[in-house]
Amino acid sequence: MLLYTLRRILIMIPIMVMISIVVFALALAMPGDALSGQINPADSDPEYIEEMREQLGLNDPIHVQYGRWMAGVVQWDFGRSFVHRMDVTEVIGERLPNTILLSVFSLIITYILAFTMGRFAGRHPYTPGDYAIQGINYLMLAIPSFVAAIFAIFFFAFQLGWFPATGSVGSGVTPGTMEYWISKLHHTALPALVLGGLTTASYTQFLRNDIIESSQKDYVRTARAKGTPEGEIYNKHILRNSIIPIVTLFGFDIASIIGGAVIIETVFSYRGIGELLISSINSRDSSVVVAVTLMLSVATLVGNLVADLVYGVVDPRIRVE
Amino acid sequence: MSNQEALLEIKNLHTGFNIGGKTYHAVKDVSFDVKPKEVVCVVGESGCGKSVMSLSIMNLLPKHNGKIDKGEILYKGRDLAPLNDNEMNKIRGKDISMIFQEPMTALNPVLTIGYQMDEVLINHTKVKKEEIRKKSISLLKQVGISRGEQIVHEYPHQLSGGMRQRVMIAMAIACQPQLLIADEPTTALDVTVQAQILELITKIQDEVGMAVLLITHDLGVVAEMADRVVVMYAGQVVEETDVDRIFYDPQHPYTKALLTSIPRMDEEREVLNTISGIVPSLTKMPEVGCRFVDRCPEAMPECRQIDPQLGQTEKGHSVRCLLYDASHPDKKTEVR
Repeated sequence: MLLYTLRRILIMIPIMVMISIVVFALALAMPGDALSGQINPADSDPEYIEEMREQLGLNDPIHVQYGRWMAGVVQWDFGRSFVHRMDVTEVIGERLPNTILLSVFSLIITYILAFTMGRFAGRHPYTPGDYAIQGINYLMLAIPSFVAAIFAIFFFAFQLGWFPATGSVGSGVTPGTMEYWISKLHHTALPALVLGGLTTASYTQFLRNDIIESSQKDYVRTARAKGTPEGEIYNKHILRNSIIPIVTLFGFDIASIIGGAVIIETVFSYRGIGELLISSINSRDSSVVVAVTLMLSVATLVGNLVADLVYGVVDPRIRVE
Repeated sequence: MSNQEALLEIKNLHTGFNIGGKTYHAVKDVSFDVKPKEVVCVVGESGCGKSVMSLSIMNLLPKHNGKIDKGEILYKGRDLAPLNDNEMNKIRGKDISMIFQEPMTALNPVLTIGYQMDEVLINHTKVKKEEIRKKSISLLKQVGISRGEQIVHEYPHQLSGGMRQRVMIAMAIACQPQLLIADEPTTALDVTVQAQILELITKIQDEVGMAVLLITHDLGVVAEMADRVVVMYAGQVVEETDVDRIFYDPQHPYTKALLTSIPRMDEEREVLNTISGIVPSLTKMPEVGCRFVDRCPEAMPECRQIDPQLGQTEKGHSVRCLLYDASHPDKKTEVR
């Protein structure tokens, strides 16, 4: 197990290098560059533009620029954000906790809802309750997240006033205080509910379908023939088998914890990584774009690795010896 | 009228399946007894209803469309057919146990052998936790698995088919049941393993003192194991007698055909005997008359018009065939 993990981590390194090359090349290939995002080309002196270009190193050949960047990366220096006029690490560092909070919050909601509904529907298939749950699921799958988000803001924030409509924390609140944390949670609640609710659908269906399939397997018949009560059959025998496919989704979720939900964050003006990525692309803030993309790639790789390891935990048939 | 000696009495059992709104009987009017410590073999082709019959006894039919329509299943005089799940759970694994045909899929792949073995004891006894594991290990030894202490920590995929079947047997006898139902326990195993498992069943039957209802399509197994034999065809019992007479004095044409279709080493032949035709499918059973009539070499015109009954031709030998007066509803003098 340990050797397997180490091997996987080592393989990640060349993959990440390749990803960084691709991302860097894409960022450079974007029309415009960091400088043009800042100044008005019509207004500025072409000589001044050239001089700035030279100074910022934007005229150097690609591999030189890449090498310069890479040298910084291994020292944990991802350059400066042209838009925010801060180190990229600082910018990301500000946003990352928000995204993690939102993701974890919404994942908890998803898991609670999905397990409750999925187990009920799986144990009582083709009943009115099951059809109701499936109906809700299809609705949640069909509604685009921005529509759901806007409706949620309208009802719960404006009409009912239960939650704040936008932002990740109240203004004028001192960081570090209890008030601060409560405000943060309050602001995260609505986007988390929307995000969590919408993603519940696929989990619920996965779980329900697998439970129904497992209930017809031979080992369930054996357990019944031993006089095992129905509750234990569903909650131990079947459930331990049916969570295995859920682990697949769990792996993706690890990656999404970092990646954030771009649309939800944007609609709620929630200061997270997803919103940062979009605005940076729009403003050609290439150093931020590259850093965030690299971070998402690492998160995906790590998520896959974690999912593979968790498979080994839940399914004894594929334990790595 | 209940036979006081019998452990299990099946009386006029009808088990139906609801297909497309109509009920079709996979088991129709099946009656026979199992006495304590006796081995009764139920023989028949695939599709004759023997598995459905055995599942009916334990009430393990698929809930959404299978049901015992009529008849009684008397275990020590008590009818099991109307019992609900909670009541049946007290009997399953304790008084009556069952082992199945496919050992490869019969165990839960994500739970340890030890857990699945302990489960039977936890379900039915008040034995303490430490004692339970010890008992599981000793049960494994009893079925011929000497590495019990290691096996309890392993998972089913780490065991061979024969070993898994032994584990199944160990789980089945854990609470010393009076009746073991074995539904083709060796069909999915190699021939050599088959012999071992049958030997094991005989040994266990002696040690525990239980009756065995052994379902099989293999007449060799019947010859080896049975005290009495019940022959089923298309959901009905067509002949019932002790093992000697089934081989030396078969009365029903189907039984005779089964016996002649066994290839023999002392015969030289190029073409094997077969029974032409196939078992009628569940939804296409004839409404009236004998169900074997299309494949029967001795069929008579009245076989299509009169339902043959299961009648006793001599003591301890019953048959369902109009060739015998005992089976004819108008000519019979004694009925089972």
